[in-house]
Amino acid sequence: MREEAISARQFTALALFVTIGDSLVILPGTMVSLAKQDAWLSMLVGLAAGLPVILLFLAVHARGAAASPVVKLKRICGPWFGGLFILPYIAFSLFLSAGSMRILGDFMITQIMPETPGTAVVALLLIVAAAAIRGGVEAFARAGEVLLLCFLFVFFFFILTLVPQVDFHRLLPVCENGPGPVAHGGLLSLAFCFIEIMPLMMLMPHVKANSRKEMRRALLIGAIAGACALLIVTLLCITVLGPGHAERHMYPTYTLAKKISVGSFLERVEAMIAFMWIISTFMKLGVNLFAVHLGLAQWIGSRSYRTLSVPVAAVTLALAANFTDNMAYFNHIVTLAWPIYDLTMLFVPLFLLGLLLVRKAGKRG
Amino acid sequence: MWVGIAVAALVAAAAVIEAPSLFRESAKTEGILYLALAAAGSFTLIGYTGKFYSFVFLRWVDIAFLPIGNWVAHLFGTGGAS
Repeated sequence: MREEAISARQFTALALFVTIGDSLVILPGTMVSLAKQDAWLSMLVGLAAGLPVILLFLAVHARGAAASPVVKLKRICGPWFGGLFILPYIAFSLFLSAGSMRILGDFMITQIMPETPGTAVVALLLIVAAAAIRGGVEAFARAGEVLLLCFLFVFFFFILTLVPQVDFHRLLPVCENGPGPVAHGGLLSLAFCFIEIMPLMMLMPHVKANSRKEMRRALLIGAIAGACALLIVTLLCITVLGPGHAERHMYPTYTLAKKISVGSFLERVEAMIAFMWIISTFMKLGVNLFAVHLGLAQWIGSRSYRTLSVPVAAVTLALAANFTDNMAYFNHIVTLAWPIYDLTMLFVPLFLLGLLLVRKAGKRG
Repeated sequence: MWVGIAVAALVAAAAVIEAPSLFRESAKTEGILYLALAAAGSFTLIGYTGKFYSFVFLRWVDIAFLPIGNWVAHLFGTGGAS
């Protein structure tokens, strides 16, 4: 079978979408509730802490043969001992898929379609995602490249129309509550924007980069551009809505879009923001599901990863439906427990990097 | 509930079509995994194993990581749950 290949540019688009993902509407409000008007500093802290994480993913990819982390773990540790690390990695990708689906479903039923069952919204998106898995990595990456243009158009429209309402005085006083809340907000942005890129490692062997440098550039540009987009959105939430107003809303970015008013004729364009968010969340969902499918197929030694698309979509839907009982509990988990879970998952690439370094040193010896 | 039943029916139909071909192609592990995942997803969607899934997905994250999350929140001075 022909090996599927994606270009470095397509990979950059995927990295950008995965970094933004569902954080576009959720993260600014969560960070503002912790760090108030300093949430933008939290984003910068997250960016600074996230770069070493990206470099860790690149280091794992650069060492050993050009293969996914699952294949490398299976080769070095064997299918059973390696499974102790492969299974948590696959489960992490699956949980991220279900989590982002639930977030999107809740958003749709609370803000746009209140009488539609949330499961129906999630099911529709998962049907499209399962079709994307059947289409393959190449088709998905090409879709990402096309959707990036739509995304960027709406994003810049969003920024430009809100600029007249910006009030930088709302950023003051800086560090009013000390560095602690800023650091906690930074932990959230590190976890949600950078550590959750981990499933993208499964697509790295498919990238046809001419050199390691090109690969590194593709991932770094995508991740940094995504983080900068989130920084801009966070700044807009604070400077247009104000920290008090922004933290009271579950979806401050959506509230922000309701404030767009150009000459009293261009108004009520918040559905465009919902469109932008659905694109980024769908692309993140796709990457996570690809990681699940590729991971399972490589672990059990299957010839094709596409056959499991229907049952994996069903399990994702079931997990999304049973994600949490209510939104208050969800917020509690997202702010306190989930970032720690994300951080803990770094043990997989760290362990693999250690193994690869030890093996290389052993070969030299 | 009805959405869940509809999706579960679709999954069952897909399993009837696809799973036998996997066993015919000697991809037994894949076939078993297919059936197991399809059954797990379908049973939950029609409302049988929701509590179990709730534990599989979230409760263990809560049990394992919430105390650490609370400690981190106190460390940073941003509160945390009681």
